[in-house]
Amino acid sequence: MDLTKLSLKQLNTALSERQISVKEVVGDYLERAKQSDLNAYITLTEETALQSAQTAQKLFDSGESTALTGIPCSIKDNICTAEIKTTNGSKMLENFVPFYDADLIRTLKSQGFVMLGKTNMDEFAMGNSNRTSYFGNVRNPHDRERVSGGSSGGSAAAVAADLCCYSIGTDTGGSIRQPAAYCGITGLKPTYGRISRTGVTAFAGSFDTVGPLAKTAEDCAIIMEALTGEKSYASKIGNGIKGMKIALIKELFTENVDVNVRESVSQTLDFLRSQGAQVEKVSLPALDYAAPAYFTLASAEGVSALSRFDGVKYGLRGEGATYDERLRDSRTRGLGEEVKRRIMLGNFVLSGENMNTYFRKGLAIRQQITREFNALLNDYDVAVSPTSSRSAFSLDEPGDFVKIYSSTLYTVPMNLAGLPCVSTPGVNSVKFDKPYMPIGVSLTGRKFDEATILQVADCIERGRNR
Amino acid sequence: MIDNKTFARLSELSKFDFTEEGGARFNSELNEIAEFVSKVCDFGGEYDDIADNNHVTFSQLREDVSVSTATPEQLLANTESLNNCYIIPKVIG
Repeated sequence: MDLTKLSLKQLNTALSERQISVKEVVGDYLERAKQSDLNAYITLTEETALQSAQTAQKLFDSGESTALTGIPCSIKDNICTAEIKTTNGSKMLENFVPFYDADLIRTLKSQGFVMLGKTNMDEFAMGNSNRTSYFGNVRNPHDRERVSGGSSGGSAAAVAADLCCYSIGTDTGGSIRQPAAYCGITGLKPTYGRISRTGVTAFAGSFDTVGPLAKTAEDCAIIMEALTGEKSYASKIGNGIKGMKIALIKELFTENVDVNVRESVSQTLDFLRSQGAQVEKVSLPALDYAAPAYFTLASAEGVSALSRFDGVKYGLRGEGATYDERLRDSRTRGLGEEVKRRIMLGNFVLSGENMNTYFRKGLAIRQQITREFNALLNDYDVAVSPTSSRSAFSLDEPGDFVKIYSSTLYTVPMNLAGLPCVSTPGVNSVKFDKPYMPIGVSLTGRKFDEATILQVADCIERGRNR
Repeated sequence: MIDNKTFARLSELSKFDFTEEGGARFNSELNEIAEFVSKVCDFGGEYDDIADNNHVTFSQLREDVSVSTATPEQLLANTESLNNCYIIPKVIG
């Protein structure tokens, strides 16, 4: 039995029934992770993992284990871990070692979790291809010449390539869902505010969320229950979707979407109809403004969040005779080009009269998108859309900023509205893209109703595995 | 849209230094991006602060109590050198 192929639930069963030991599982995963050429991890924490494995085994032996006890996982490198480097994918924090754990790490530790390492990511979570990481590109497990997606690219690649059983990532504008789609796994952006961000590096405080990337929808539900302490997320798994009303978002299903992606989404909708759901196309007109509004607001917030990197308290310290000279040198040398672009843009939209013509307009668009989504979700249980207009693209594709920023249209609306959204591979997606690259379908739900979107994702998964 | 003078001001606000060549390229890229986000200016609606509860009023402020959360050694563990700290001038009485 290859233990690294098992889902979280299957592993938990095998560990609970003493078919295997924690040490065996952790050893198998560590071996795979060490041999991998994907560059998914920035830091492997082998010694810590083996110590945690011993602690976890004791919990099993004493009958105090939980669903996550002894399950090998990875953590995105913008989540603080005490005594373990937390780089944010940046030269600025290349050697930063926090003295405290993020809240969610403390929660996971209390349940006997085993962390294998910290995963690669776009610098400060700014990017959607993992090509902005100071620690190099992450390669897609399905085709090493293609991107993993981002910014949680290391997390998604690690789960897809069985280098960990699950991962915890962050999602400010699609950073869990898009890499999950590109790597062919399930990724959940929970409702804004659902999981504590204390100890998670801020990028855009009114958007940032923490969530799971896993092999199945059910695994995501189990992780959510462990992180929140609420036992409702898995309650609808396996229930089927008969009688459910599902909306296809018109603005996200246009000719701009690649034909293979449209085919995969259409087949998925056909499958959902065959399971008893009613599917209708619904318009959300304000989405035409979603991507520009997102970049206006998130960049403005990013200016403030990243102002702390001054080379004094932590991070790269530059040269210079005065404080100002050192500050400029630290930031100029410590931050990468994409981060600089966003900070400059943020300062632009906040400067002088731009505060009214850009920033407040962005806020107005956000309000309108939220209203439209809420109205839609009054009438429908779930909204469906492609997670990306295309499957994973080549690592060598030139960086056309406007094209890259525009491509976030498929994920940022849910961040603007603060809604939960899960991406899962579409039914039959394998048929439509040659060579096989996964295609993700997004399911958006009402605030705090992650259980329903995971229920639909689970249904799609069963359709995929027929 | 973003002329050289504005670019210099944004660089100053952001605390970045650019070479002449690097700055010209960066400014060109920034102009492309600024044009992309300028679509927000076409939006007809206005932001409603009250709907977002942005008019916060405080009826009672919490007590300003000092709480010890970490030692100075922990807080300064990631500075380059403890002997190389900056002295911050005292500005409030």
